[in-house]
Amino acid sequence: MKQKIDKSLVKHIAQLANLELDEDKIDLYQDQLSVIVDHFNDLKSLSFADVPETSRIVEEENVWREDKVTPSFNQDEALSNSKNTHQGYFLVPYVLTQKDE
Amino acid sequence: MTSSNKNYQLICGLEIHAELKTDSKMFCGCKNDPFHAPKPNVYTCPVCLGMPGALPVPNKKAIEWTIKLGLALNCKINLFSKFDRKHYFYPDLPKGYQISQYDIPFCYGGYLDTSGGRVGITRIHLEEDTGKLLHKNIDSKKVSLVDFNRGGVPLLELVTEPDIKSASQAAEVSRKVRDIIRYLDIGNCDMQKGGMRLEANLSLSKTGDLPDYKVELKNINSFKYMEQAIAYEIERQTEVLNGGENPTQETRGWDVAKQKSFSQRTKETAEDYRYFPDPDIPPLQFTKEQVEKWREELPTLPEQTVDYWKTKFEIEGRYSRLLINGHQTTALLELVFVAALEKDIKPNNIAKEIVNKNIKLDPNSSHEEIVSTYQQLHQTDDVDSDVLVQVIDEVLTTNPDAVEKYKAGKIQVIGFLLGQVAQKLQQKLDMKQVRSELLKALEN
Amino acid sequence: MLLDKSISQLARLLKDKKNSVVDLVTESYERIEKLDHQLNSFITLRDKKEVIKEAQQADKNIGKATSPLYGIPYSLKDAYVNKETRTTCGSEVLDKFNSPYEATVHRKLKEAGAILIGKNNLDAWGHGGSTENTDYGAGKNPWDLTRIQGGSSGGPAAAISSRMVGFAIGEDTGGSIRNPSSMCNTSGLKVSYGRVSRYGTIAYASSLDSVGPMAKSVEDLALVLESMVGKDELDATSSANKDVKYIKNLNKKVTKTIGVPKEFFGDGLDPIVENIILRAVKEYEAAGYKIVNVSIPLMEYGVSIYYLTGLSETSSNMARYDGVRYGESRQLLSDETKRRIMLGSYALSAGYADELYKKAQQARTKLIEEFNKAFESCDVLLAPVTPSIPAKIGELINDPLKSFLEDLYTGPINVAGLTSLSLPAGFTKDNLPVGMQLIGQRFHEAELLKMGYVYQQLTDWHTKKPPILNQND
Repeated sequence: MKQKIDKSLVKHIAQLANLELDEDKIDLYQDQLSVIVDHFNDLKSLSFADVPETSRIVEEENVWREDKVTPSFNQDEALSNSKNTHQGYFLVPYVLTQKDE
Repeated sequence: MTSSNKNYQLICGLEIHAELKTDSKMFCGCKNDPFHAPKPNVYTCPVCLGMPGALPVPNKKAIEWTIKLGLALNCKINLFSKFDRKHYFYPDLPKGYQISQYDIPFCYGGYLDTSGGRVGITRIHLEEDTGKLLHKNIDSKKVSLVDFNRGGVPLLELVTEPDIKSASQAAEVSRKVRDIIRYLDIGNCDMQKGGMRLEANLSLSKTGDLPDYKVELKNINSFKYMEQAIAYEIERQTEVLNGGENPTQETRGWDVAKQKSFSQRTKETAEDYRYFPDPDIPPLQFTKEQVEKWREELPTLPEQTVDYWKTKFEIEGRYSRLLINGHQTTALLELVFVAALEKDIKPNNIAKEIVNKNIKLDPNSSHEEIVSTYQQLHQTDDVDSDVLVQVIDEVLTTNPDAVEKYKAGKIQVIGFLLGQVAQKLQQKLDMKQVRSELLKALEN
Repeated sequence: MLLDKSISQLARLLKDKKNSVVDLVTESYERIEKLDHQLNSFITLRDKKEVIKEAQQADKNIGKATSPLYGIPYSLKDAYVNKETRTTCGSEVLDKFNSPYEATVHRKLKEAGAILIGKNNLDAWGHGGSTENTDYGAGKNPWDLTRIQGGSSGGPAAAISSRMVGFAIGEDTGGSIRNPSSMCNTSGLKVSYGRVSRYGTIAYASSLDSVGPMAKSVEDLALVLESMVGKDELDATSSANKDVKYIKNLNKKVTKTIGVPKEFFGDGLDPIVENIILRAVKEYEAAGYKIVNVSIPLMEYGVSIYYLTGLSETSSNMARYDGVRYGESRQLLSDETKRRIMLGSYALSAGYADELYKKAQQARTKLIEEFNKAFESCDVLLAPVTPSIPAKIGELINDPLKSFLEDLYTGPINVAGLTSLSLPAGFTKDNLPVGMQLIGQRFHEAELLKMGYVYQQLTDWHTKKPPILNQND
């Protein structure tokens, strides 16, 4: 294996993915991720100048719907699977940071 | 409002979000009416709640309206386009990503003319709105409450080039965009209801080149506050620059009470949105013919109408701009003006009465009704010309010094004399007629 | 054993009133109750009393039945949402999730009259090829309880193999129907992407996922498939392609050329498996089919192309599990799942997306071209399903790369959106099943099923039953 992924990068990725990693598992994750990424890097030897990307397999284009209203859930159905609700709302801990958009 | 402070030029661009008033949401059939929903979370479904297994299907009308707005703002249209996923975590974003457009927006490269010059429009794209967050104290604990009635509503994002050179121009651009959206009848742009949101990116430059910092102004919900905030920022940033430093690259809000901007958070690292094309949504491919057809379906736009009304009906621009705010009423007014011309009434006079609210512009009334309302307002009683001559004679006799003044060249005194005549007669008069009779008498 | 009969045989028995739907459902529950604690092929069973009632009602209306699936007990991989039971997707995170809506495929099968028995075990979220990445007990292979069922649709495959249900619906993103079908000696069809609606399918990789039938025979697959296909206005990627009649001409003679793609027979392939596949080639040849050699050079990078696509998409599809609107905290996700999400986030992240995700999508364009080229000289490809025989439980789950490499022959098929049929092709000397796959062009399911039908006339591997069925009480 050529190079291990930096631990700080592992932590950064976990943060991007909103995952908490147990400290005692970070080494293991680092190893496992590195082995796999190393394998993926075999693509580096390929060069595809001007080859378009295929990000989906569909033959159709312009698949859309007319602007019509269809039945929605009622409030109970919408909330039925949440443990934390309050007067018809979903309840979450106070969100401190401003959303970055 | 000065646009440049001594050596510095304002370099400012706007980012405007506007909700489209389609009947249903962007990617599902839930009702698009979050502000009037009777309860939270009643206009929701598997798709806009981001449930496991749900899939998005785009709203055709929302796409059409986005392109029409682009055409109205002189944009080029990407004939091939797509939706992309924009990833970030927040409780009001159910899927953990927003379906938006990244590198191939529907519209790009347009412009808007303002009193301060042309402002480029970089792009207009379509995305879905997030749910709404409320902050509350429950059992003395601070919590946030989420309502997804708004989640999935179609949202336009319009970005201008950093061509804006003054705070007032920024307000003008915002108003114009709002006016066009309303004019096309695709959105309400009600800022109080969150139907339109403004953000500005600004910095100051000595040379006119893009400086290496920018400050973002966010969460400002009126044109007036935006203008105030930008003006304040110009002062603030000037001071910092004059002190030899660059203003911090950050997001700031506007404190209305204190009339100051304040730091919201520092943009150290840009968020990594990990955009990729949404595999659940096939791409969009339009033909040139389809785009031309949409262009033809556009109503004549406000500025064009102002020019047209000036040329054809001699209506002053200041009245036109106030009257043109919806293509249905515009069409009605044109009928009114044509009918006015036929009856030898100056259309500009009717326009003036409507602007001054002496005549109500009811979209349900006919043009004949409006013209006749005007006629009633300006009905003049028939004055016996003999009576008129006699009254004029009386007035001139009782006001010899006024007559002297007129003879000495002070023609403004006519106004006074006309008033005297009108007072005596106590009738609705055709002032043109009275004036010409009065002048005749004065000449003698 | 009623549930050892084909669907059409059962349909006949029901129509002739020689057996009742209650008979079928009763046998289903008996077998499950007897064997499933050894196999873990089910996560959730519907309440038996409720289902018997449903069966009684079905018996009353048997005269009105139009579909051959009427009254047939079936199960769903627990990745499909339905209202009758919870849907866990194999993970604690959805342990208590009761979906307020149902998957299109389930709705269609219900409308045909089939009877849902329960939800099958799987690698959670589709993340795995062994049904070990599950919070509901590792699945055990009915042919050898110390070995894996394969995955991620291990539960459905084991349930069919041990004759618990008449058919099942699995899901294939990179081999998840074909792999367990091969390891459990059942038949499974990975449909062309877009052939069956994905609405209500918990997404693993949005451009790769396919919803497919699993059953004892090709004939059964054809019957089930016909009830599943069709454009769904709730799934923008479902195809309008109308080539959907499968059962009528299933036994009509076909003259097709079989391509043997050389990259599927490289170093990684276990010689035991290779021999079985090559024997199948010979069997076709002896039956008069032309065999040609073809090549798909980018298969060398197949695992990377497949996984970079799949993991990127799964990192995105998993972002919705934040515990706000449903489910438990996402921190309860397994290590395997966390690893996949992180790899996918990495592949999409700034600074790496170009050399990873984007490169893979470019390679994907080329790979599709190579498959299309191969299909110019043949009609179907014949290849192994996995490079190895079913592993011992525990072997793969702790070796991520080894586990990924098991998808070598199946993943790239999904990348190209093709269709592929997995069929029993023989056994090792330890009586472990080995399957083969017949790979067809997009929307060529009819052709593929005919070829598979031919094979199941020439051989009887698919009729063999696992030793667990011989157990005495």
